[in-house]
Amino acid sequence: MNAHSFLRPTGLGLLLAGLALGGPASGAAPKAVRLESRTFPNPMVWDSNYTACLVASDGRVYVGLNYHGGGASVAVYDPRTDTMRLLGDMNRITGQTNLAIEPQAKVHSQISEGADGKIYFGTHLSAFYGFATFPSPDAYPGGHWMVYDPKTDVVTDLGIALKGNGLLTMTMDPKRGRLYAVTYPQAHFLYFDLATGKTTDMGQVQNWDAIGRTLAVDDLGRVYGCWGQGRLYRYDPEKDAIENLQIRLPQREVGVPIHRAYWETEQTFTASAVSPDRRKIYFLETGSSYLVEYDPHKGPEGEMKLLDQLAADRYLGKRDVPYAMISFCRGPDNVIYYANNSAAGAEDVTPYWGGGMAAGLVTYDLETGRREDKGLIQVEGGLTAVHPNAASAAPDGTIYFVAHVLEPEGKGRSVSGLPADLVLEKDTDSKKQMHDGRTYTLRLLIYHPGKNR
Amino acid sequence: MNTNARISLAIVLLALAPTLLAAQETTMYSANPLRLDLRVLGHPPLDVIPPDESAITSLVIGADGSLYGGTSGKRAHLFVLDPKWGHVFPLGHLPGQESIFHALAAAPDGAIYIGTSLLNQGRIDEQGKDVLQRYKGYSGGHVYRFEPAKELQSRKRMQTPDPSRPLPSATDLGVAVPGESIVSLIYGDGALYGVTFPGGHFFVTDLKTWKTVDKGPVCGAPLNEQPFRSIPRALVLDAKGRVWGTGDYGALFDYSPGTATLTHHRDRRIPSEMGREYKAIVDALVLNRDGMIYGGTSDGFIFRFDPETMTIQNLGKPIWQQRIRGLAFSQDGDLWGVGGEPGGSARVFIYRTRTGSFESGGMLHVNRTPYYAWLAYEAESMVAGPDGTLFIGETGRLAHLYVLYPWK
Repeated sequence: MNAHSFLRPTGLGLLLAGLALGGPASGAAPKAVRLESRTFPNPMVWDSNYTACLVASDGRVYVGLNYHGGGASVAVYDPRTDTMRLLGDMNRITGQTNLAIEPQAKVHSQISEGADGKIYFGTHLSAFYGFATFPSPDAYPGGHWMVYDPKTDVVTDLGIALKGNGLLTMTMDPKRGRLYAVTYPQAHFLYFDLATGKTTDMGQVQNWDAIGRTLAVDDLGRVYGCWGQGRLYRYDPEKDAIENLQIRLPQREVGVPIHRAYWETEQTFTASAVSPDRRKIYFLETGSSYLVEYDPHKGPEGEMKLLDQLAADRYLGKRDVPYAMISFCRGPDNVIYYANNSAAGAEDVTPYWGGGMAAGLVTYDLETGRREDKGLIQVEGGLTAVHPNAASAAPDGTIYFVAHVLEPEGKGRSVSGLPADLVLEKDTDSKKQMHDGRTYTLRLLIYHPGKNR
Repeated sequence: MNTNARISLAIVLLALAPTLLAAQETTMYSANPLRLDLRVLGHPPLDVIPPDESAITSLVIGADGSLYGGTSGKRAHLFVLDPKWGHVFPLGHLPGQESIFHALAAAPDGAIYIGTSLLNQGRIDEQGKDVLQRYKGYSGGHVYRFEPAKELQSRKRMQTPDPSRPLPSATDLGVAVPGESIVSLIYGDGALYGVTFPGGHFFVTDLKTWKTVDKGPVCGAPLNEQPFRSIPRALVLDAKGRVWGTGDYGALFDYSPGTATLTHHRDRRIPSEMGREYKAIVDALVLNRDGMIYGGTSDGFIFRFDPETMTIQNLGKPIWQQRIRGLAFSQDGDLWGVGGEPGGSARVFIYRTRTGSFESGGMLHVNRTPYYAWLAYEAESMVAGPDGTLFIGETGRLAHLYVLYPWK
């Protein structure tokens, strides 16, 4: 750390002072866990990924790849042949080529597998310039419901979900043949009926700055999200209505965040997983990375139980817990796997998500209640993984994550050029200074529980 | 870095902390720079007008100086904001009623008159259906007389608001025009004046006799597009007590209570884009202290109308979107407004009457991070309070009352 970066006027002084007082634990190298990794085709194109990672029932892995300002794609990784391919340019498939409008630059939301074996996903916008262009003719036309049929190898556009809005969050009720989504920026809750091809708009559920990144579906097909201060809303398909419940996620008062995304006002769950029978839902709470077990059947609004905190050990009991990431899933061994934002030492805190330039792996065994910090994630060559953003578990127990991997200088994309897609990361000079010279590629990380060390 | 050095550096930084924090920006640039705040509709988390029932589609200042608001959705609610307290108190809902759309009228005796309607803002899957299908079997919008003083006297001490209760101290005066919703309602000299949907009837209710006279439609056949028919979304009373509105092609009409006659002025049309005259309807109307009427149109123009000389001046179009959803005068005589299309992004604007110039007022975005923050996409009503505070009603599933202090 140099004095120049230390004194930049970003309000990080207090935090860094705290770090200085506390200092790194010791000079010893931090504990690490080694994962395999695969780069995606055209690795210099894909800048990011959020939530979109699914291991389908046939073991193939689908990953949403984002290209700010261009067309997104979906990568398909086949572990049997160890090959990777792309499903095409979403901007082209949706017919937007040469229309001079904001592109279909992301496949942001969760990817789902239908009862028919088809793979469903949605498209999303990239740069959203402070709402000023919403909803002008050159603005984003709206995210599309999309489906890929592995049998025919064809991607089909099912149409725009809601004008001017991207599909930020999406899930599926395979039994009912319904896709559920929450849009950005207007936070409308939608559902798409596969049989009729009809979209129903249930209206706004949140403010733009606090839209949950995931939705959860229980065994009755009820869909859960957060509407305010960690309180759940519940869409009941039998009533075709959204109820704003009073039950809320366990959370601590975080106070004014001095280094996280300043604009985050709300508490919500960042990620969710379900038990095999879908009668229990596991939430990862945003502000403290609390793992919460929710039983939707206990009482009129269900019951919350705090299981543990899944932030890396170094943050336990601290105020400056990094923002919880979406790289969270339950494996077939009934263990929760969570790749978090962490830090290797006392490096600068990243202004967007908190934490430093490292990612860690924490597991929680739902049978025994044992939590374990496996250490910082490294891949081949000892390269460091950062910004984990998606996870999914294969039937054979393999866990897949999507993350950035810091590359040797000169290879890969510039970290300081990472898109501030919400145009909220205001201190771009600081970002450039912090990440000057660093490069990364987006990679699929592969973890074999019990094998990787 | 050794421990002493760390401590020294930390002390220096802590000393600098106020400066560093002052430099920290805690709001994004689209947060409105005006003195804008918001109120939730009740006392959260429990005692609030529920989602899907909270869209604020009517606002009026009562004779007592309080703000009254009417909502639309699965149920229509009435709420009050007493400036002395500054928070919204839900008063109750009107059983069986979906909407209070531009239909709150304040009488000098303190009563608030309420006109009800069917909810006309459908879900996506309802769009395209024949509008008239919604009105099959509909008995018609009711007029209610709500007496705030009685409600306040009957309110138990320390009572929490209860949006689930039927509105107390309200008398149902019956259906104004059978089969028709009330989509505009104002008070003037012992009478209520209203316009209905989908027929576009103009009606007059005598508050002494409780009799309503249907003066017939103010517009012709349906367009069967947007708008469905050339029915005004606002009425206004001029300095002489005449009621003004618009009909087909945005042409003005007036109703003179003295002669009980409705007169159409087909050569006096509100501004619109050329070629879109047939779609022009008035969205908002407000009377200035100098006797001029200011209005906003469906195409997003602002105009000034002098009812004495019968002249209309097109003042321009302050926002690129269509629709002027609300207008109100600040105490210093400037015209404030809010506009924007359904599915769009609401914008505030100001018309400086002294200089004849427009200013952009930004979006309805309040950011009080980390306590609360909200960006409203649509608003449907605007009114000025006795002290000059402007109130703007958000529509949508989760609506808020915006409070704008137009003085600097």
